[in-house]
Amino acid sequence: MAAMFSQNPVMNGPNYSFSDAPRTANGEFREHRFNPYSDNGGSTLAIAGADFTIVAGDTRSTSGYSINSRYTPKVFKIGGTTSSQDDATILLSVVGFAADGEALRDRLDAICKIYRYRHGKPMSVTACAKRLSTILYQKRFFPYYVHAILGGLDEEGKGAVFSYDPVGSYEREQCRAGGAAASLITPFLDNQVNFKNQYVPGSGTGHDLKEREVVPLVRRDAEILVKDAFDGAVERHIEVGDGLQMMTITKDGIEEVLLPLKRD
Amino acid sequence: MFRNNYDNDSVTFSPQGRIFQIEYAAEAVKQGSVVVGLVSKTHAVLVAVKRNAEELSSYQKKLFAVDEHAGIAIAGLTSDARVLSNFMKQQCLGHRMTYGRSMPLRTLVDLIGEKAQMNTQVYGKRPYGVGLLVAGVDETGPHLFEFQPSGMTEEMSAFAIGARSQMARTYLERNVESFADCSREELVRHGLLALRESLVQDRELTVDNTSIAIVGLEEPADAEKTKKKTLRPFQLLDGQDVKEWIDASNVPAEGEGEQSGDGDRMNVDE
Amino acid sequence: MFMARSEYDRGINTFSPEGRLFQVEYSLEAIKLGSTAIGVATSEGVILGVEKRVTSTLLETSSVEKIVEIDRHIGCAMSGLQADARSMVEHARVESQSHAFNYAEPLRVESATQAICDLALRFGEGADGEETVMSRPFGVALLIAGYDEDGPQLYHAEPSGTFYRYDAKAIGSGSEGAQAELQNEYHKSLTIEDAETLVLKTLKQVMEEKLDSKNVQLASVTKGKGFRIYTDEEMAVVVERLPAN
Repeated sequence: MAAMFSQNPVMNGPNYSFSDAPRTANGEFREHRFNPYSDNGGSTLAIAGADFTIVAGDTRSTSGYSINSRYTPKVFKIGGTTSSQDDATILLSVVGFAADGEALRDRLDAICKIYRYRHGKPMSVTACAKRLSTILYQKRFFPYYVHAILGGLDEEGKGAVFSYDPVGSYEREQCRAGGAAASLITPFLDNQVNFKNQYVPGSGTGHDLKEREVVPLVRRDAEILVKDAFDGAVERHIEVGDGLQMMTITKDGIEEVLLPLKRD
Repeated sequence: MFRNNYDNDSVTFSPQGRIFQIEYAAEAVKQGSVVVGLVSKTHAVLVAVKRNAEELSSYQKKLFAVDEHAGIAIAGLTSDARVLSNFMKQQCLGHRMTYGRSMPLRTLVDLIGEKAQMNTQVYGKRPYGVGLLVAGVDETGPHLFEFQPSGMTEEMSAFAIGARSQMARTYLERNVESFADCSREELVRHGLLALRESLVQDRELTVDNTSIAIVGLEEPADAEKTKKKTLRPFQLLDGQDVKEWIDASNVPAEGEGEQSGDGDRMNVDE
Repeated sequence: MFMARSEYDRGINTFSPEGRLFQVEYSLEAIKLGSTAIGVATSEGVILGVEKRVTSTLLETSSVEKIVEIDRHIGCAMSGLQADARSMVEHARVESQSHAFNYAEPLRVESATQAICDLALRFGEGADGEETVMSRPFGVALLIAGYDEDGPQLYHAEPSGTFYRYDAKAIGSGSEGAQAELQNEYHKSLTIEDAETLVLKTLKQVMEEKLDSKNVQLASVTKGKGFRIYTDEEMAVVVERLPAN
């Protein structure tokens, strides 16, 4: 009976005893059907700065306890005129079910290209954000199994991050972590980006304590924070590791770096 | 004599075996302003003369990109050209999504040829009243194709269609041997000179009425990489961007005589 | 041969020997019978003006709707078979809202014009490969005026499915004389007030009835106020300003 509740894929499922076979809530035997989704693990992170946006993701792809690959990117440039995406202005990161992530990327990229043909100009990140929401909601009853994050610069040149649930609910935010280690990274970001729970020493006692003033991050500091966040996540979460793909978008374009992460 | 009886629709042959509606559709192409295309070993170039309806109106665009590696020049009914160009854009995008590479030019041109031919063989439909020059670069190098309303498509090394295009074609025929080895600049120059042949006596190429498009294989900017050439994407030039090209073509080279135009066909708006 | 021409003009999809679609060209003729409409674009905004063509004193002039709104920042004036215009305007309105829904931004004026012209093709094959919807071309032309990130723009959309952008354009029965007048008087540094006067002055020249504030209608598109149809009071002010003939 312990086998039924174990998350270990090796232990789960019927072994040699029919009495121990998985059952539904009614008590009937659960039939094996094709599961159209699987979880490929991984984690992503996006931070919007005053005039830049960083979108990062680890490069490990997993199935259960196994590693599929140490390098499959999760962060993509979209909206460029050429297949090399040299003039792309928008970044999309997708984490969850990798096949859905890639299909979503292809779809959004094609729609960005068609927009450029129809309206003679590149899609702005706010327009792309809304469009991505409608794309996701179109599959409301068979969703793209991903947590999507869109990054870019808004029409005033300020950094913009939009994050989505699998069916298209979205919001513009200052920073967001997605994927398996989101719950490990987010508290770190709250403290280090938004300075939550930090107070000015000696400014009073109890409720009179002054909160540390929130200032926008400099690009270099933000990049170091991203690496630190992932290093922390890699330590404690098995599905995160191998490599860190970090893309930074500024008015001069998109720069990509690949940094190593622990491979255990 | 018999023309009047056998030319009501495109599904009727005349006793001489001609389909007049298709021939009439080809006439619509001759009503459009002239466009010229040429290829060399490394580049494909399209140049066009744009028309405006009236003094206070804008100029009708003649050159369109359909993907990063290919584009078209149109002559004839603009609305029909739009239908075909949208179709080509969708096909190129879909091919790229399925196969992860650019669509070969021959495949693309065959698709529109088939589409156009269907319109000539189904009752109630009419042929497309537009001719295209399709230029692009694929794995086998640069190509230029002519597309006609009948659905006929042929690969060319250089061609011109539209009003008084015969003048331009004569220039191209005279110089065809030299195109293969031309540089990018020389190819555009030949295109503009051919275009000039087809202009009415008192008209000339200006930044308002001229369009240029170039696509080709070039060595990448950084010299460390191998000398293998990569695609320089389809680039459309209008307005001030064409000024230097027009000025360069004004500098005379050896032995290019002025051909006097026919001037007998009236320009009709597209 | 006098007979020759009449045989090629019947079929909607029949080419003439010169490569022309006569049904499309005849629909353009229908517009030449329509009431005059004029548009003038300036750096501050665009002015549209129409003659209402009041044929009877019993007619309620405020019900004559020849200038309509497509979106907050786009409007159009029509000339020709007005019933045809209703479905074109509806299509443009739907396109505009659909774009705003999908992209959270206003539709560009050129794209709105393109959307209307794509509909004009549907007596043959549609722009994105859709099937035939109509059996004849539209018998109406539109002057589409709007303001977007490229500034004020004026477009002329025709039944053939082609459109051109204009600095100033007149359509309808008085269009020839009006266009000549516009060509003489137009210059790039016109203000909105200048444009109002120019439009009314030109309408006055080509209208058969005597112009007053009830038998013409003006509208404007500007950055600040978007598309607005002038009220009766505003019309009276502009008509007052006209120089006495």
